[in-house]
Amino acid sequence: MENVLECSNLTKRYGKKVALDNLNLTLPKGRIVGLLGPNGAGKTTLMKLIVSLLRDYKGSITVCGRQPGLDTKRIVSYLPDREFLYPWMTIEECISFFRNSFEDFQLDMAYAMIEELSLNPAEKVKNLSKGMQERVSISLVFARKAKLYVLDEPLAAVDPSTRDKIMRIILDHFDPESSILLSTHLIHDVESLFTDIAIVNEGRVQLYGGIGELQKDYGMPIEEIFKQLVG
Amino acid sequence: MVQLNQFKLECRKHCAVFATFTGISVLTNLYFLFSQDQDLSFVFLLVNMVIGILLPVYIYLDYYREFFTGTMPINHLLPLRTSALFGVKSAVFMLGLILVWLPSLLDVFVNPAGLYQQRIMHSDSPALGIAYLVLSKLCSIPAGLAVMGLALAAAKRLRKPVLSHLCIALVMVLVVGIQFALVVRNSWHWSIGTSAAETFKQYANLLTVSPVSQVQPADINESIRWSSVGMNLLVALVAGTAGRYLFNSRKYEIFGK
Repeated sequence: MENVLECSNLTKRYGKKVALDNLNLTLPKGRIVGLLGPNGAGKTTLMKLIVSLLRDYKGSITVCGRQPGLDTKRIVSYLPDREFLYPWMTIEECISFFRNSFEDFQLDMAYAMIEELSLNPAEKVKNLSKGMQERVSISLVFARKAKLYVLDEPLAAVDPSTRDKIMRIILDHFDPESSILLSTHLIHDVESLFTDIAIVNEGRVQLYGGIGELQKDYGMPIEEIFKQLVG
Repeated sequence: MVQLNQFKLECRKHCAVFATFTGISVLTNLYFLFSQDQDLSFVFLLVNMVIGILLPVYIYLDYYREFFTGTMPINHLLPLRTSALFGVKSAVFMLGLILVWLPSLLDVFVNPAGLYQQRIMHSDSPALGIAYLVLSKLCSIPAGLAVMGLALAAAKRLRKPVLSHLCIALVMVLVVGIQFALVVRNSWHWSIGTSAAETFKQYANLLTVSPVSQVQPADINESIRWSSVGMNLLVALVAGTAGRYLFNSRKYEIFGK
């Protein structure tokens, strides 16, 4: 099976602090992987390395066989854990910005998602609530036909009904030729989205496997497995 | 394509600031073109000084947010090298700074008491004087922007924030200081940020300097110092190349501080 992401012996330090410690992770295509871990486990660091916002590391990372950099920015769609849209832009202008910046951006799909999430394209980003901004961001990220989607806590700021809508959008628009890596603390609420789980702790992948297999092997829900492993 | 769109975006982002300062500059220059009120002449100087200080600070803060703290990660996700991103932003700042500077030419060329009609016109080669007047300013801008970029890119190499900020200050003070020392060398005295009535202004990076000699040159073209223009070009080239290398290296990380 073709791998979209391969991290091997990946180590990242911030001075003396080790954020990732010989981490190994392989994502085949067609998977939606939940990246779980306690705060400070290294989830966000791993994501930033994949999208080339962090560049200084030991070991290797490849996205579709290429090292993170200019080439992979064209095939990786990333949603950071902070606000990343210009507040003075309207939603329409954000869509236009993405269309002009990324060749794989699908305009029709973006507008369809915006409509589905009940957003007004003429509204300015600064006038939107945090949850609504999150909806816009997710629509823009998913309107790209990327090979890898890296989503850092995308569902943290939205209400349960919007969360369900966003999860439905992710599933409806998921292309089996791509993969999704999604970090979250809302394990119970979103585990139905995942095909696989990767539990990261102290900079290493402590557990990786398919949802069904893990539940069968451990005989308990994913949240319980997580609690047991992470303590 | 991405560069062009980013250029348009940056133009839009900074348009209001540069338009405001250009407007103030136009109004001040027009007012003092027709007003003979000597008591208010200090206002003219003051406005130019304030613009000369505020604009570099504004530009520095924008670079700082974009390339040091990384408060807007979106630009760093675009399929562009960091150096290209810096280049696009710098192109917009260059245009903006030129736009704000242009109205000051009203005083130079149209004012009967201005530098052109009083001095340049009567020189051996007015064309040479005009070329120097324009080129010296134009070459100082990329030098200033490149040094800011180099300082920020170099500071990102240091892990501790205190050391990073010291590095920024050191690079900028050192480069501008050396350029300044070379510009005022052999002068009787000098002033910063003022308009010289008898000689050409010199530029030590973004700093406007008016060195004064003990003996006033009979021909204004005698105050031409191509060495200061060359120095600005050299600084732009060296700082630009070094900054480009640092921005694109693996050690440069937009986050991680």
